[in-house]
Amino acid sequence: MGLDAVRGEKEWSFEDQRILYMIGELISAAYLREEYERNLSALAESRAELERIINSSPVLAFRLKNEEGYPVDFVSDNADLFGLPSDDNIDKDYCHLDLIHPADRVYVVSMLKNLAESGEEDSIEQEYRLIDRAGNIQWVNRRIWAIRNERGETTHFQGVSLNISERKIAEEQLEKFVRELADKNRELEDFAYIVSHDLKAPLRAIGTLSDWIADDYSEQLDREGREQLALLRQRVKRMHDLIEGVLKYSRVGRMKEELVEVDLAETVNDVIELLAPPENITIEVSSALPLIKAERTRMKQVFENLISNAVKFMDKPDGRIRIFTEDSDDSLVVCVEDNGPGIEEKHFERIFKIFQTLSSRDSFESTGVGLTLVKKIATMYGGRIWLESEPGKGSVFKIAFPGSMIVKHPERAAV
Amino acid sequence: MKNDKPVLIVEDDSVDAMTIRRALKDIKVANELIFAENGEDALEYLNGAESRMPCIILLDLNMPKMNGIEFLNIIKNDDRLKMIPVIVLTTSSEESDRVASYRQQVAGYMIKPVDYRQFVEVMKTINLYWTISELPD
Repeated sequence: MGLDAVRGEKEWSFEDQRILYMIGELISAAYLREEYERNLSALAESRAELERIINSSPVLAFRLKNEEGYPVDFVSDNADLFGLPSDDNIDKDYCHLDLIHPADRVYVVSMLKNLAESGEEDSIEQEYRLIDRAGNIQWVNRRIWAIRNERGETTHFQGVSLNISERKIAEEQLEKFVRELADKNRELEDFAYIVSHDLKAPLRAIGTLSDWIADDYSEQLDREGREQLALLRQRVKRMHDLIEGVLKYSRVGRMKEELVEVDLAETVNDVIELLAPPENITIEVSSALPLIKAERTRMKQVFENLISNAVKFMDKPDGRIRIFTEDSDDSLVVCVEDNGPGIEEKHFERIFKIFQTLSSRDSFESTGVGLTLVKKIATMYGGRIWLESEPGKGSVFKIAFPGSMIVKHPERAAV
Repeated sequence: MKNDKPVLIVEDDSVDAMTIRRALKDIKVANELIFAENGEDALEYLNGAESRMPCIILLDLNMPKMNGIEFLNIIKNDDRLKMIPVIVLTTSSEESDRVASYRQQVAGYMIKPVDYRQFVEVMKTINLYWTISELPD
């Protein structure tokens, strides 16, 4: 008909025109419908893909109505992650509020009310406990949005949840272990203190009584008897020193001091003055010792023990002790060097153990606690101690402290 | 000591008590010595109607029934007794014990030496000081 019209061969009647128009409408409707159905199907496919993604992820998606009890409008298929029924298994009147642990309800509801009414934020994060269908507690972390209508009223809440129960359990366990460890440590330190205290009392009596026997009855004793008595008194002193050593060692853990700025150079010089080394030993203190943040007494103890060891074991007429620092990227390395007898490598680890001495106690009185103490202090600060030595060539004891302890390096003096 | 009032010694260990007695004898302290085994017994003596008030109290800290700090607390709150100088004689070098003792206004804090001769030196020093220093009547 159209071709006829174009060629102008036929006159179109009104009726013909109307039919033509209707055909045109039908064709365009058919096209529109096809497009509509294509779009619908694309939308359905897109939604299905979204559902697939959510359902196979550990994240649960949900929607709640903003009504009394917060009835559940929708929940993704993977709701069993929380021990909850999915959309297909939703009971009528399945209310979100009923699932929340009673202790957390006030917290959750007040935040939701605030979200709905204040309009300050679009979404909030919450952490709370659910009680699932089996009655178990599940820890939930969720982000929840307010869905508002044209009038700005919140009609629904929508969000995504993550089950963080495993993390919460792990956190609780860790806290428990930390507490237990702290308790055990305290117990051990108290024990060391109590034991050494209770050991001292009878020891004092033994010492005193043997002194009196020596004073009152030594004429009645022969030379051997007097010698035995002398050995007895010497052993008493030794035991006293050992107990003191244990006490000192246990105290290191027990008493916490304030962290202050400690001038290491000053500390070292104070220690040297206290120790009053004999004339034949010269001690050189580097000016490069920095200012550090530490407990004053502990630092004093470190140098007291290291320097007194160097003095005590010095076997040369011309004794030289040097205290200096070594360069290191992220640590402070402090060194105490001496030209004493030196130590064989095989003993390097042993000497840091408590009560270990390198010569028999009869030839050289030493408690064997000093280095153990220093090592404990170094470890407490997250550092470490080691030594370099060769018999006949002297020793260097080195302690590395974390660089974060340094407050200030001294100004490098102009040469 | 400056006057001839007795010295009260509060000490539970018999050998320590013997030691104090012998040391004081060695340095020729003539004052009468009263021994109490713990804080309670010492209080009983001090509150006794016929008891002579001591010029000085030598006090051990670790004792059964009533320890040194508890005893100190009581006598330093007693008008009649609080003026008596108390010297703590103990094995404890603990900071907490020292602080607690001085908080209760002790006149001195000596650590019992392990060695008897040093013990005598300690007693000598106490005696010398409290012979020079005046005591209240």
